[in-house]
Amino acid sequence: MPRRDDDIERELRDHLDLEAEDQQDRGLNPRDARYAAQRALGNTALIHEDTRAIWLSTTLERFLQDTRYALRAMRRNPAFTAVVVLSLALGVGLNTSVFTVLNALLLRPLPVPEPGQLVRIYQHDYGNASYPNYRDLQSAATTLDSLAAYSWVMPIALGIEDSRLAVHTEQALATTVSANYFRTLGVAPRLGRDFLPEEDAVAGNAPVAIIGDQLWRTRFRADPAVLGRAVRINGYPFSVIGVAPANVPQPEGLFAHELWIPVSMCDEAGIGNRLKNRRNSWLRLIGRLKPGATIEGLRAEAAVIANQVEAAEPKDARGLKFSPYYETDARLRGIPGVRRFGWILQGIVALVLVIACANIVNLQMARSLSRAREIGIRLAIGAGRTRLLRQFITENLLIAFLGGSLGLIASIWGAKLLVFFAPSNQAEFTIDTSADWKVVILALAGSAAIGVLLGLVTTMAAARSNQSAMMKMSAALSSRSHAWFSPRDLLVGAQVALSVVLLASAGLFILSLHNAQQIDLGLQPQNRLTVAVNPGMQRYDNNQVVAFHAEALRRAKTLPGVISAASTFILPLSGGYLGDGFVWPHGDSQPSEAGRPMVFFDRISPDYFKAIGATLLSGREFTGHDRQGSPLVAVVNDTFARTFWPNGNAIGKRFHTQGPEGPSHEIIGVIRDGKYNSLGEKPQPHVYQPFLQDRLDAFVLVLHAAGPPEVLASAIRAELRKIDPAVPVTAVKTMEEHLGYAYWGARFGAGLLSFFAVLGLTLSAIGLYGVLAFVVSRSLPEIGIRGALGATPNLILRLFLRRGMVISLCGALGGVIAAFAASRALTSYLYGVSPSNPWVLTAVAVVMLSVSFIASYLPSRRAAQIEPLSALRHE
Amino acid sequence: MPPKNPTDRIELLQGTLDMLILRTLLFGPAHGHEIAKHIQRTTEDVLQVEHGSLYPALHRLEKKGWLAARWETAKDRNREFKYYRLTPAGRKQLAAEESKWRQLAEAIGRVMWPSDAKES
Repeated sequence: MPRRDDDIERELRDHLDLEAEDQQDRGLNPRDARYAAQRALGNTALIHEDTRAIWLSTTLERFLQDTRYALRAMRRNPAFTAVVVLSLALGVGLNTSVFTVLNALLLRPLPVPEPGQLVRIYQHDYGNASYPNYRDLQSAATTLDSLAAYSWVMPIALGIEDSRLAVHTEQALATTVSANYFRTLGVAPRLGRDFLPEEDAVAGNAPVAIIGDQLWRTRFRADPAVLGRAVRINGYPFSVIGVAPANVPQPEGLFAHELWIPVSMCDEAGIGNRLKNRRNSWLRLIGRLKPGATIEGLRAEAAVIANQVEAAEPKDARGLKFSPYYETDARLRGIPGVRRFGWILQGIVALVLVIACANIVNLQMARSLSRAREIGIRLAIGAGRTRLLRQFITENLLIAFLGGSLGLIASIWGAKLLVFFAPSNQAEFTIDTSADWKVVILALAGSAAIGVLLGLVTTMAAARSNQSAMMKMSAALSSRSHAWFSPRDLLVGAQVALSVVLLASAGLFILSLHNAQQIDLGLQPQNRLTVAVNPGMQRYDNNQVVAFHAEALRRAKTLPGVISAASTFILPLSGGYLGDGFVWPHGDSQPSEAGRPMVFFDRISPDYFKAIGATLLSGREFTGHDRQGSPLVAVVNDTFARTFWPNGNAIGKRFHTQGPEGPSHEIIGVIRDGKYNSLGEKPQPHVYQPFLQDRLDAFVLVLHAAGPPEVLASAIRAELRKIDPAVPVTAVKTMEEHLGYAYWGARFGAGLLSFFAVLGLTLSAIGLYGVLAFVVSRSLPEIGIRGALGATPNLILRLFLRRGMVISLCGALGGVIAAFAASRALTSYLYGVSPSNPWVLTAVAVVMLSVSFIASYLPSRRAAQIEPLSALRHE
Repeated sequence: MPPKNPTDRIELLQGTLDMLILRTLLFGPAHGHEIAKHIQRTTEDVLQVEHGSLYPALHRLEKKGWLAARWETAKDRNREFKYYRLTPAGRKQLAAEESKWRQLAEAIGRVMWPSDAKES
């Protein structure tokens, strides 16, 4: 409204002219008269703006004007604006990144129709189901529309014929599924057809496969004539009947399926015949509720069905239980603690955001106080408080919008970075961090809420401080220093407290990492090379595998630089184990499994413990004589021996597997305990059996090298190729590399938390420094007076230093108490560290106070160096 | 005696300022500077009108319809100023404010100086 603007400007100019005339009449010269007139009027621009504001009738016009004014203010202070916007961008970016990953893993429903109807059913608490149990549940459940099964992702050798009839074989990740899998999800193939219901009915009857979109593009070059083409899966011929759509939902989230085959073909595909054994739990179940059915209804029905199955099959289905969950609830439930850790991480980055916001409020209040006089006038007029609120909220909304948008954009890379640091074991993690509009809206709405909140807090704090500032200005001398707990001081104290919490968490994780690295693994990881070989993929029968295995070991031992070579079915700490079960010591005829300790099993070759560096406590290792036809023998670990024979020597004792009447094994050796499934596990009984006395289909070679193990890699590959070039060598890594995955959790936790802790510490130090620097600048008259009255620079220094240290001391105290309480949540993630560890808390307090000292010292020193006269003149 | 100490000058509340402006214009139209000087002079400097709050007040009163404004040539010189004058609505508002203020002053007086209670 330019006309009114001109109007007001003219009116004010007239006023100045007239006032100047009056001053001239009182005897001032023209220049001084003008100056006096201007002083009498005050801030012309401000008055103009206030007057113009009277005429703004609509909220929108007022809001637009506020925004324009805020933008102008921001442009006038680019450094301030940059610091504030970047602080918020950092906080919002961190939070959005973490939330994006959490959303992808835990919250985001699968991209299928009616995702709320999807359920996952575990056997027992979070275990896999067996095929017969799946069929029983599927046929009996009335609350389910359909129930499908799928296996964990399996590496297979996929052979594709090219135009010249040569077969190219590469590894692919397959999953066996029931025929209704895609239909249950609500997905249809984009090319070709889905599985027919009869295709999973009879074993071996349906050599068909559906391939994934990615696989179709890379291995088949997106050939539209792919339907009907023959492929070899682990050597067996299958025919391609369909191609899945591009973004086919992955129920496991992390591991992407590349191709699907009917579950009836599991034997032909080289996975083994798993359809008949009720105790072989290898399938995961996903189903759809009927419209109107609830999860409670399903749980009740599943319990009834489980009882029926147990009654019909008392031996194989003893203690059977089904645990249904809604699909999003079931995510990652198999890995205990992961879900909670995700939310703890979100809480930690929220703390960083709070610290950043506290800094923003502090900075704004500092800036507002430099406009104290004009704010005071507005407040005195009375309408000013609302006006002030509106102005601060607009400014903060602007900052929040800018900072939030920046943070949101940054989180695209932030989320990718977090996923990048995830461990990859056999298969690459796939976490879908693509944009989810829910996350975007949450980030923007959250930023807006922060903006409003910051505006409110700043207004309240500015009004309060301003009152005391106005009072201070008129009260020239005060015997006490400034009011101790001004809002700014409280904010900084809170920042210090939060930083202490972050530091304590980081400290606990660092200590835990140190402990984790001290854990005795029961083996020597240095100079060991591991080579995973899977002859079973080439459809070797047992004899062929035995022959291959023997030849592989023989050649490995003759390689130069190899001290010893042996093999195992599964390496320790692979994130899984061969199997578990129960044993019956000889003489124990109680057939029930209830109450028995669970025992882990592994199969190994002779001299395994020597190769891996495990310590034999008594007895001997397996030899070549322990094979098919010889008496069954076993080597056990110390925990096993002490669990079942606590009083004496376990050597020579016997135990039975599969029941008190089952096969009898004699213990011929006891080795020192190690860790088998996870670093933090409790002592676990473990049994080793010789490969040759059991089935052998895949194994991992362990080579003890005289020097660095990597140099043996190409040599051993070459030797294995000489035996049979078609047998896939699936993973060659050093033992230390392999074990690295086991330490990943501890390392990731320590690294990430340290990063956040340093961030929080830096922000708090900046906050403390800023507050003290500001107090010093506001206290110049008082410094001058004290100096003039004889206070030494040292005294002035101590005065401000004391103020800074008291704030940080109180904050640190509060933080220690909060850390004490908060770290309880971390107990399950720490290796052998009590959350109330006094060393960590002491170290954290020392670090915090040292940093606070430095942050307080710098402005205090500047205060001490001020000349009293110049300080007095500053008023 | 006009007080010189800044802290002794009483800051005017918004409603009171409105009333004083309306009263000042009862005598006839005036522009902003004249109004400010009049209040200051008449109260012997006790009431200090922050010139900065005067103009928003004038515009607010104009917006409410209690004042009418027009650019007119000054009586004593060849220059235009923005003159404000009371409207009939403004006159009514002045009477209402006046009565409220009188009631308030009486009530306070009765509390503060009970022996001096006016007999009305």
